Amino acid sequence: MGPDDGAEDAMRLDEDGAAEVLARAVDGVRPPTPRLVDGAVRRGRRLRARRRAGTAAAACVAAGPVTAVSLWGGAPRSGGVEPRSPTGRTDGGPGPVRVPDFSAYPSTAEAVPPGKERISARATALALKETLPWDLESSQYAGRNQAGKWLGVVPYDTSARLRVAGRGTDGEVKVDFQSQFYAQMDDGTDGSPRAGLEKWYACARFRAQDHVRRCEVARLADGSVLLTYEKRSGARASRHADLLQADGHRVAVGAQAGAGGEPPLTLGALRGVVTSHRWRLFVDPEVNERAKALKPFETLGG
Amino acid sequence: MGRREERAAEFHEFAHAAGPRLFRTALLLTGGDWHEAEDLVQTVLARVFASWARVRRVEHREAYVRTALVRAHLSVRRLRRSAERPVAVLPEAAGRDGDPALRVTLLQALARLSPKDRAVLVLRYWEDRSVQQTARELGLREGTVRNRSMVALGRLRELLADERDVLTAR
Repeated sequence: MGPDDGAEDAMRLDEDGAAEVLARAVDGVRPPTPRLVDGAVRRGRRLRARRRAGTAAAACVAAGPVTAVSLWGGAPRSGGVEPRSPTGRTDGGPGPVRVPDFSAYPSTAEAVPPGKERISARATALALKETLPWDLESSQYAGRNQAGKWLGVVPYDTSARLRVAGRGTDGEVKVDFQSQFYAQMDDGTDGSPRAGLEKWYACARFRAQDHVRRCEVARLADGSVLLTYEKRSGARASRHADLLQADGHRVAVGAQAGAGGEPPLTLGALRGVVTSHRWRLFVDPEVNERAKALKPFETLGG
Repeated sequence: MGRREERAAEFHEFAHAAGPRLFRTALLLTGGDWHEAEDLVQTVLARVFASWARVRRVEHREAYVRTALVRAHLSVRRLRRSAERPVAVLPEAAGRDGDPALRVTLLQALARLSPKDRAVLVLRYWEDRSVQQTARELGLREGTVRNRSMVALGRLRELLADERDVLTAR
């Protein structure tokens, strides 16, 4: 972080500040202690019984991960619950919008529908490439796939980035695709994620030192919520479009300019990218298959 | 109350008191993987339960168990052969307070570090262990611990550089 970054004041990431960073990363986490202890006692009893039976070696292995069981199985992910009708609608502006109510939605991983697959990192990069304006050249594809990887309390799915050039500029465009975003935004305010989501999808969350301009938030016709904004700080400029789909998935696309230049996508172009029908968590196998031809592609480490 | 019941009650008291901190440590070690953290805590507490007659006599029990947690985490990482995931019970919807956006940002950055780097950071800065203790507990050289700490912090700085809006909007 540079000396002009306000983040230094908020969070120092040197040896002295590291403890604070780690503390803040788990601040407010309320573990399910009674359930964990009960489970530990059950497992401990089994372990002790096995030890007594002279099978300690087997016990060591059994203490590792246990088989996954999804309570949601193959059931419809929303249990037939639809987002509540919008109570207000805006065509775009800095004012607040009402987000869908996801409180009845599941907070665990979604089951893969029959005949579908989770979108791969490579297919995410391909979708990004193919939703860019036609006159932009893309290269240097990279992505990471965290399907099944839980971050905090929700699955974090795929992300991808690529270099773009054209229109007399160049830079990088990235996308983060995250399912069940609502589940991690439950801040405990009212027992639902709505309050957290409404804080996130609001221009008011930015402060002066964030150097945010042209912030708008809109409730789209399909019930999704779109936040767009531009950031300018010194020679650095970037534009962002953050979409909360009506099914609770989040697509966040950002375009970063090269040194001193303009970001390669306008806010309008980003809006087109982020609202593409291509952003689906589960896709036909052919989609992932076709993406295998995307080269060169770097798989980013997890 | 018989001796067995007394010890079971002792274990319950210990586990309920140590559980929250243990879970937060596990969450940091796993880079925010809630279910892996739950499994890790249960695994370690199960071992503690099975060996309670011995563990109850340890002077610094909580620290001892947290060290066991770090070792179990690294050991499980080595043993794990698949993406099996313990989802027998869902995490409570009300299990999160504080600032979810900040937490997600920080955990997301931690998740991008290697498990061993996370373990070094957790022991050094969360558990406040010395370089010597961290080296001993992870089976590393002291120089390696210092080096990994610096590199991991530098990597975190990089990863969080683009998240100024989240980090400063508090």
